[in-house]
Parts: sequence; structure tokens; C-alpha cells
Amino acid sequence: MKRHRLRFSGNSTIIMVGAIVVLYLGTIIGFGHIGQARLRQALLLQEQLVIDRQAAEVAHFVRQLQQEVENLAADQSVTSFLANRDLGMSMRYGLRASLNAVQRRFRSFAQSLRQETGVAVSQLGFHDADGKMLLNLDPGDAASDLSLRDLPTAPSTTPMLLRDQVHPKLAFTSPVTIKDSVRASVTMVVEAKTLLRPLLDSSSTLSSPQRIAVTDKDGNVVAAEHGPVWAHWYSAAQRHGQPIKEARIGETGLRIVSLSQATLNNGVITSSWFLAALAGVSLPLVWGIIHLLRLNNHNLVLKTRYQSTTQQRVMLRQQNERLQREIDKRLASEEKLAHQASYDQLTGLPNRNLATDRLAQAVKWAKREDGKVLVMFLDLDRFKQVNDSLGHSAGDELLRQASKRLQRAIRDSDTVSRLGGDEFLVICVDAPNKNQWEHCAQQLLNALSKPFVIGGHEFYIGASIGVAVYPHGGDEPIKLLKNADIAMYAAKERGRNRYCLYDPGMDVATVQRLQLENNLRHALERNEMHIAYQPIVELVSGRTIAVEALLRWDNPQFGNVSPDRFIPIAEETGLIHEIGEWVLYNACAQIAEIQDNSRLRLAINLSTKQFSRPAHLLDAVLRALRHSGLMPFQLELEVTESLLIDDDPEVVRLLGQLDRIGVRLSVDDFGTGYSALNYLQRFPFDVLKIDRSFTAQIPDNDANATLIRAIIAMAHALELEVVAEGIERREQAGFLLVQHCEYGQGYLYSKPLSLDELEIHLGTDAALSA
Amino acid sequence: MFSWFMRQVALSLTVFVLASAGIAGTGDLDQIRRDGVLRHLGIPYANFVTGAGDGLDVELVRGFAESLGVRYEFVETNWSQAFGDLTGRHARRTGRKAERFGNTPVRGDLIANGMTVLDWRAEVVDFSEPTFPSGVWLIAQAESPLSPINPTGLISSDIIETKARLPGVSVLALTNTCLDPGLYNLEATSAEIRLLPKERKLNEMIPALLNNDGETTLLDVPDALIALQRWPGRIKVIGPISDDQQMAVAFRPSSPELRTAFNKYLAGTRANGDYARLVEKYYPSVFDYFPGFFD
Repeated sequence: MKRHRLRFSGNSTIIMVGAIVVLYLGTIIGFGHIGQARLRQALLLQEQLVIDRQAAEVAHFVRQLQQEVENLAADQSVTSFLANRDLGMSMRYGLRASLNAVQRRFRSFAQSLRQETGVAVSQLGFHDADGKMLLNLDPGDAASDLSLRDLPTAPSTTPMLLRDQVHPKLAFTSPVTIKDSVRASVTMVVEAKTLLRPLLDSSSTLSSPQRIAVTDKDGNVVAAEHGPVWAHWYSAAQRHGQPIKEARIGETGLRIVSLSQATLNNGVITSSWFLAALAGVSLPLVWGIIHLLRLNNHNLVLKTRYQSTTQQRVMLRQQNERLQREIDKRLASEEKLAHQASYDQLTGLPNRNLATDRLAQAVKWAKREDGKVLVMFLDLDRFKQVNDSLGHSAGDELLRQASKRLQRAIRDSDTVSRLGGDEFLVICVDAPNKNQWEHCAQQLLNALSKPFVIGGHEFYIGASIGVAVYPHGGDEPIKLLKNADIAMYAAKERGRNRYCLYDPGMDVATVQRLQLENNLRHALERNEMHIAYQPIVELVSGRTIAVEALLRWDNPQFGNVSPDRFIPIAEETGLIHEIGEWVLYNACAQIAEIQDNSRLRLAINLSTKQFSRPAHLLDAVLRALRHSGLMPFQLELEVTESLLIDDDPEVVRLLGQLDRIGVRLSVDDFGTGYSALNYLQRFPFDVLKIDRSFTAQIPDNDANATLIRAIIAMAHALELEVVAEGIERREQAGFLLVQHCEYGQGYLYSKPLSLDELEIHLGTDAALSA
Repeated sequence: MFSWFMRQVALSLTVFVLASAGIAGTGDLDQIRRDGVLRHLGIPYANFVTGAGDGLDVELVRGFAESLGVRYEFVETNWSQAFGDLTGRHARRTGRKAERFGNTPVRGDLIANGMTVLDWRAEVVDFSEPTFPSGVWLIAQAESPLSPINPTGLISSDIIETKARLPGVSVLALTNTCLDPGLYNLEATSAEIRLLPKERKLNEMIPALLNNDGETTLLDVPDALIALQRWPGRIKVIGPISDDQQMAVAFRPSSPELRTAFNKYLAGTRANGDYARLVEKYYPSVFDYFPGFFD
């Protein structure tokens, strides 16, 4: 949030300050006057409150003393004495003990009263109901000038004032009651000045001294703080019209009289002199403000200019700094983008774009200068094993280490770049003779022949290098690259870890096969493979009851590669295990995801080669089922007759295991192979698939029709279901129906479908069935 | 013959002297100092021996043991065993005289529990200087028709007036103590004297009275003072039964040095005011009844 500041000129500030000061002083003087009047009233009120409180305290004190006497009258020693006396006991024999107990109690009471409250008891005793004095205790610590005999014995709840004494006294009396009968009375006499004690205690906490006295209802002084001079103070207060406050002390008939001591001039703040001084102070203040105004006017213009210049300079500096930061940031960003566009992020080497550009520049130079350009296409031989066994991070580390070695192996003027994956391109300008480029290629091989240590493991990888030299190996950059690539495959073909110079006579077919193989190795990781599904229908109803998974490979270089072309390569290189497992895993997962309640079956072709690792295959099947949730009877594994020829016991065992876990087994392309019929009995097959080559010619070809009839009859005899492949016409379907063939597949029903298409197809199929 | 006779006489005298010396030494001061312990025989009674580990006589004897530099040990006894426990032979009153009978082991060195000095007791033990004043009063329940006497100023006259109220009145008493009716010739008053069992203690007299075991009871003055405070309005003092009495500490006759040491100790505590403070603690009103005794 931006802060706004009100800016005032020096003049206006001073005027404002001056006005505020004058207003402030005027307000103080005015309110001071009002405040003094209110303070006077408040003080008087406070004094009245104080004296009321003091009267309440004295009344409470009197009640306490009265209560003490009542407690004494109810004491057990007193009642015991009276009881023993009633029993007729004599003082000589027993009663004196009781009276002594009373005496000890009274003496103890007088002592504790003196210690706890400071009250000196003048007389303490008790009379019986007939007025006979039973005990008269003179504690001996107070002036005693009266006898209890003179006191009335009638009990009273308030003390009696004895005024006819030199020292006024108060007599507290309490009856002794036994069985609702007044049998005696206890009397305590104390000096009246005792009542001043709580007043003295409380007045000691007040800020202003007080002149107080206790009087009777006629105004006669009973006790005064300063007895001898009280009369003088009182008459002086009356003469000066000073406030005199009074308050009753409970029901005693006594009063407290207080002469006010506080005046308003006692405090500096509240005195009238203070107000006068304030008025005087305001005059020099006003003069000072006017003087300040004059001085300020002289400097105002100069000060304004200076502030403006300073502000502009600060703003300019801030803008320059911001601009510089923006430029730096943009330069850094552009540099980063340029680097990312031309260099490989992993190795820091020039990428394919930059390499192509430099190659083009080199070719231009060679054409112009009639020079030579050496292009070396380098592929790491066993990179894939490292990647697969230790993971991608290890593969990345291997690439980084290899890149550094390659950089160290070439001249500064040469270029080594990473084209992608484990492929590198080395461009050497001005490599005139064979010895030089051979030396250069050997240097690269040497650099990579030493072991790599990654994650504590040691690896030997090696490389295959294809060499093409401008102009013989190609006169354009693209051609040079392509020929170097061909030469690289030739090097691999010749046994790897070697270099090979491009020769126009190289076997293009072999090279292409090698290229295909190389691409196949990366097909899965590059997501170039996918699965298509061809429905298998029940011929009677036309309802889809299963799908056959068909592997498809779309390669950027070779386009849509037919399985007939890449499956043999996969089988030959061993990639078939990985690819077959991928198909099992993904096909099961995809079908499980889209299947409805119909429990759609999934047929997957297995290569004969996959059975070379029976345990691995069984494990792959189980994992695919477990992961997808597909039921075993929904999975149908298709094998060709060639698998069964050798009668391999491992294969027999595996097929038995698959059958036992509920997986259906199918004989694919029946009739095209060895067709030793006895194996159909020996192995646990559920389905027999008639090859499309037979289906294609029915019903016109009698031989084929006869053969199909025989196959179907034989399959039914063996309790096998029959699926006819390659049905494209209605006549074929009609013939097969007549022959009681249960199922069929082919373009008549549906071409192979992508997963999405299959889902739509199944939806339509279900709707029609309904 | 003569020489044989003389030898027998000399031998007998030697044995007698040695035996006398042994008896005299048993429990006397030297022996107590050697043993390092002073055994205080006491019967829980009034505020002399409260039974709670304190009391006027307990503190007095404990102070005496400290002055001797020996350990204090309290040995509880009762009225029928007390003299046997002190002297080794039981004793009781027969008429006005004491009767000794039966041996018993000596268990203590002195008896101190407000024991009243009586003539028959003085035949059995040696008493110390008086430690406390006493007397015996006749006490009745508050509801009793018996009225207290009007004191005449002469205690002998007051005793006669008190006894004049006794014919046909049941009186509780305890033999072998200061409340023994035989000491005061109560049989002659035609009162119905009811003796409490011997195992009873003096401080059980008032509870027995309040339990209507008798219409009146004898009670010593210190106990009566406590009873008047404890049961105010429930009992009344009718009048005196005995002359003024005194209490003292009893010693074996064979412990003269111990007795002398005690008297010396008692005189010291009375002189420095310690004894008066002790009495004030346990019997505060006794000073008014017996003015001059503690001066």
C-alpha cells in the first residue's frame, strides 16, 4: 500500500504549531478553572466519605467490644461457677475453685484484648441477678476511678457513656443466661478515648492530616486526637467558615466531628497561581513562533530546490539500476536458450542441430578450399546392457563419461556431438590422408576401450565407427551422414569395436537389416510399438467373443514395419522375449480395462523362441494376469505347430502348467506346418485355428473345402473349438457355418482395431446383441 | 570351747555386717549411679501421673534423674503392688498399723504419684519432704438431696457436720489408698460403705459416682479440683472428711541417701520457682486453696 504524506511548508507548519500551542494554553487555562471548582467539590465529598467510613469503622469496633463481652458472659467458667453456686457449694469447699477459674478467664481476656487491640480495660466484673457483685477485676493497667458497684447492671446492646468522670468511659454490659433465665451480667469498662484508635490507624494512611474528635449528641467532647487544643481548632474553623463534617457512630448516640485540613492551594497544579503562570508563558511562546516564521521564509525557496534535485537524482539512480538488472536477466535468459537450442543437456556436447550446421559449414569450406571433411558416426556397442541392468541414471552417467573421453580424444578444431541415444558424430575438418583419419578413429576407439566405472561396477563397452570422407563419401552433408551411418552398421556387422570407411559397394540390404535391428532395439523405449485387436466372432450369432492381439511397429525411418519383417529379427536377436512380454503385459491390461460383463477373451500369439525360457514365459503370463486382473480362462495363447515338432519336455511341461492354471491354448495356422496330428491329443489344446490360406479358397476349391471339413470334424472329435481365420466373404462364412465351425475372424467381420475403436466396436456389438 | 564360741560369734557378726551393708547399698544412690537408671514407680492418678507420659510427679522425678545424671525410667504399678515393688515385701493396713506379707521382686527406686502421707504407710516407707497439700472431701451428684455444709471456719467442726449427713447414705471408697474408709472412721457414721475393687484407680471415683454406683464418694482435694472443672454442674462438694493432708515421695528405708538427694533437689526447685511453675501447669487453682504451702 502506498503511503501518502501530507507535506506542509515551513510557514504553515509554524503557524499551525503556534495556533495549536495558543489553543492548547487557552484550553488548559479554561479547563483548569473548571477543574478547580470541581476538585473543590470532590475534596469535600471525599472528606465526607472518609468521615463516614471512619464512623463505620468505629461502630464496627464498638460492636466487636460488645461481642467480646457477650462471649465472656457465655464462657463456660462463668456458667460453671453459677451452676456450682446453685448447688449450694461453699466457697471454702469447691466454689472458690470455680470463681478462681472465672477470674483467670477474665484476666486472660483483658490481657489478650490489650495485646490484640490495644484496648486497656479499666474494670471487668460480673453481678448476679440480684445486683450482688461476684467479681470485680481491676487489671491494673488502666486508671480506675470508679467502682462497679456504682454501675447499673441492666444489660444493654450498646455501651453506656459515663460522662461524670474525669476521663469519660464506656461501659459494655452483657447478660449471663442459663436455661433462658438471666442469672447475672458481665460488665467491662474502657476509657472513651479507646474509640479513637481505629481513627488514628486509618488517618495515618491518608495523605492529608485530619483533626477529629468523638462527641456525644449534645456536642460535648468525649475523646479528641489532641484533646487540649481541640476547642481552639473548632472555634477557629467556625470563625473562618471552614467546613466541619459530622457522622453518627452506629446506634451509640456518639458522633465523629472532623475539621477539614485540605485546601486547593496545597497542590501546584490545582492552585490559581499555576493558571496565572500558564497565561504568562503563552506570550513569549507566541513571540517565538512569529520570529520562527520570518526566519523560515528566507530559506524556503532554496530548500525546495535542493529537495527537488535530490529526489530526482535518487529516482534516476533507481531506474538505472532496475534497467541494468532487466538487461542482465534477459541476456542470461537468451544465452541459456541459445545453449539449450544447440547443445545437448545431458553431456554438454553440441546437439544434432549444431552438428548439422557445423557439418554444412565444413562442407562449404571444403568445396571452396578443395579440402576434405571427415565425418565419423559413432555408436556405443553395449550401452543398452548398461541401461537395462543399472537403469537410466547409470546410462546417463555412461554417456557423460563417454562424452568427456571423446572430447579429449579429438583436436580442438574438431567437433564431437551427440545425435541422440548412444550415437555420436565427430566432424574433422581438413583431414587430408588416410593415415590421419585412421589415427583419429583409432584414438576414439582407444578412448572408449578402457573400462567405465559406474556405481561401483566396471564396464567395457567399445564402439562401432562409420567413416565417410568428403568428397568421396558424399558431397552433401546429408549424404555424408547417411553414408557414415551405413559404414557404422558395416563396422558392427564385421564384429563391432572397430571403424569402417564407407564404400559405395557396401551391401545395402545387410545395412538396412542392421538399421532395422538397431531401431528395433529402441522401439519399445521410444513408444513406437502398439497393439491392434481383431475381433473373433461366434459365426452363428455374429457376436464378438474374443480378440486377437496383433503387434504393430511404426518407425520414423522405416514406416509401418510388418511383423513378418521384424519378428524374425526379434527372434534372432533375442528381443522377442522383451517384446513378447511387453505384448502380454499391455494387451492383458488394456483388455481388462475395457471389457464388459461378457468376459471377452484375448488371444495372443507366442513365438516358438519364447519357449526357450519356459520359466520366464510362465512368470510373464502370471504377472500379466495378476496385474491386469484378467481371468486365466480369458487368456488364449496361440502357438504354431513348429513348437511341437521337437517334442521338447520343457515345452510339454510349460503347456501343462499353463493348462492347469486355466489358460487356454490354441494351435495357430493349423495346416501350414508339420501337422503331425497326434500332438493334438498329447497337448492340452482348447482351440484350433484354420490358417487363412485354406479359408481363402472355400467354398469354390473342392480340395480345400474337403480339407476344412476334415479338419473341423477332426477337431470336434478331439473336443476342440475351431476358429477359421481370414473370412472375407459371406460364402465363406456360410460354408463354415454349415460345417459347424464355431468361430471365425476376418475382414468380413472387422479389420484389426485400435483400442479405442475396439471399445466402440464392442459397444455396438453389445447393443445389437441386446 | 570358748574360742570355738567366739569364732562363731565373730563369724556371725561379720556375716551380719556384710549383709547389712549389702541391703543398705541395694537401690541407694551409689547403686543407682552405677546402674545409670532411676526407676520411678507410679500409678496413673489425677494430674500427678496422667498415664500419657507426663504429669506433675513424672516431670518432678524426671528432673531429679537428670540432676543425678542417670536415665529416667517409668515403671507402672497399682495400689496393691506399689509397696512390694519398692521394698520387696507387700504391705497393707490393718487397723491403724501396717502389715507386711509375702516377698516380691523390687522393681523401682521410689513411688511418686501424689501419695498421701499416712501413718501406716510411714511404717513401711520413708517419705520425702511434702510435695503437695491434700485432704479428702465428700462429693455427691448434683441431683443428690444432700446439701453442702455451711463452713464454720474450723475444719474439725466441718468434718463433724459432713459426717452428720452420712447415716444411710452410700459412700464409694477405695482401700489401701487415701480414700480408705478405715482411715477416717466412717464405719461409725452408719454410712453404707461401698468399696470399689482394688484394681480401680482414684480417678475412676467420679465416673463411678456418675454411674450411680453410689450416692456419694470420697475424693482427695487435687482430684476434686479437676473433677469440678471436668464435670461442671454435675457434682457438688458436701464437705471435708479428713483434716488437711500432705503428699510426698516414698523411698525404701534402705535408701536414705537417695531420699536426702531428692529432698535437696526439691528444695532447689522450690527455691528457684521451677516447682511452682510445674504446679501452676497441672493444678492452677491449688494456690488459692492452700495459700502459703508453695511459698
